[in-house]
Amino acid sequence: MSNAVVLKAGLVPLTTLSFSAADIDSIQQELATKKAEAPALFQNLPCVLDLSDAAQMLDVNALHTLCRDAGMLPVGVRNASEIQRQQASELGLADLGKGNARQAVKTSENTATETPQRSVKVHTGNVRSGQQLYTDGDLIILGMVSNGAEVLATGDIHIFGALRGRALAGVKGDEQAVIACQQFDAELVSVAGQYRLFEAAPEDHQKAVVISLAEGNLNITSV
Amino acid sequence: MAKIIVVTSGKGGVGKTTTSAAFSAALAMKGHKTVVIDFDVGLRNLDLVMGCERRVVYDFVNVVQGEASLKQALIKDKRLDNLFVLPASQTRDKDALKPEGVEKVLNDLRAEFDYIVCDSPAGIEHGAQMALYFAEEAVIVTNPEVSSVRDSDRIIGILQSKSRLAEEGKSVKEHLLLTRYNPERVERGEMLSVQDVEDILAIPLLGVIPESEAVLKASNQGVPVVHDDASDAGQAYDDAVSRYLGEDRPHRFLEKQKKGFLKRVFGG
Ligand SMILES: Nc1ncnc2c1ncn2[C@@H]1O[C@H](COP(=O)(O)OP(=O)(O)OP(=O)(O)O)[C@@H](O)[C@H]1O
Ligand SMILES: [Mg+2]
Repeated sequence: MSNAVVLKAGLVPLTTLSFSAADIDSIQQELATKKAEAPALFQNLPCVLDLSDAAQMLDVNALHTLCRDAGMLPVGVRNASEIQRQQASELGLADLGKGNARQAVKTSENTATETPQRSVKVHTGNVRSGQQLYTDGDLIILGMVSNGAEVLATGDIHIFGALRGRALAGVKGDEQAVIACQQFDAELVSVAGQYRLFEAAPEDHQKAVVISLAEGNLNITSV
Repeated sequence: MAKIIVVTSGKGGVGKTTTSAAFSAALAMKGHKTVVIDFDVGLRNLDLVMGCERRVVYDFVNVVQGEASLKQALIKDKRLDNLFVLPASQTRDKDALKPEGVEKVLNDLRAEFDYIVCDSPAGIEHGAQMALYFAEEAVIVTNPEVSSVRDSDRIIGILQSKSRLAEEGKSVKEHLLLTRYNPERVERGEMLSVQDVEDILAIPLLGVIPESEAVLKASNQGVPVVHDDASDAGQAYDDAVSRYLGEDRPHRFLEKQKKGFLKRVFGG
């Protein structure tokens, strides 16, 4: 018997791009800004294009080119119209059917999950306004994250100081990722793409909190 | 060997030039041979505050570009024998300063002086980066308001990543100088308190300079405010420099001024 090929069901985290504008130009601009904020994040980022709502009329060819130019690797489409399905198949993109990203994850919960190896990066010192820190894996910050600073990790983020800027954990789709900080006063937090902006001081202002994703909602728990 | 100190802030108009003038004058008064350099090329200001604007012949850019010698460009202070000013050019732009040229001038000055104080232009671009690149210590001038504190945070980040010491894996020693502090407005919640600013920036506090009319008067007369030793701002700068030199002085001017007897009786 040969086992040159083994088929394994697996759960691989994927970033979903959804679009709220129906014109390519504004999407392109938005992507460019997002990329400027976190260039490392976009590099070879596998992603799924969600074509629901506003995106129903979009040309998949154009979207595909846009994403490739931004450094991303589109692997499939979701909620595509008939024409879009046709275009996707010509581009070699998988049709991932209907439904939102979360439901799709749920239906595959009982399949085997591969746990990727995670590295941990420890940053000693403060992350100041205008600075950005990105790591593939978990990120531990021995210091604070200032207003106007941004920290991103594909895994967890632990901040042994105040979080006053932006923290994005699980940026490649890991819904188990958490953010923990000693003093919570963030501008924005995000886990696996679910984000929350704080225009005014959050309820657990100044407290130590843990932020996690449950049922697609961001939970902020003081500890 | 001189120590190189940059006076920087990110945000404009917060008191860098006022501080550079007062700081260098105070260092000189305390017996240290000091030179203060105006890095704000194109906007020449320091020479006015130092009261030597009519004696500028050659400037920093001339020296950096080899068009004049240091000896020709350095202006000796009228009041203090061991204080010198290296003025900026009003006619060039900031890109005229190249790192190699600046480094050479600083090296030449190092042998002669105890302290080199660099008055940085506002912003975070080339001019500001030139002023801080060779610094060993930094006085971060901050006003008690959100935008100024944010910009200071930004400039601290740049000091920690783009200065020469940072590139060598070392760090620039940081000092927080809170200026234009107005205790009444802090009490009314219109301005951040010392504590707020210390919390946000998390660097050691060197001093607090009160908002003071003496500053405007001093710069109009071209006399660094430390010479006005009866004034609150003059005393606060003197305290800050003494602390910088290792003396232990309590912080003053943090509380609202109590009304004096006459004011209480006659109102005011
Ligand atoms: N403690 C103070 N009390 C009152 N006024 C002050 C004080 N410090 C500075 N000022 C005033 O604020 C203004 C700006 O000061 P200064 O020129 O020192 O700032 P700067 O940071 O060097 O500005 P720039 O970014 O333009 O170089 C001046 O008019 C000055 O007199
Ligand atoms: Mg100035």
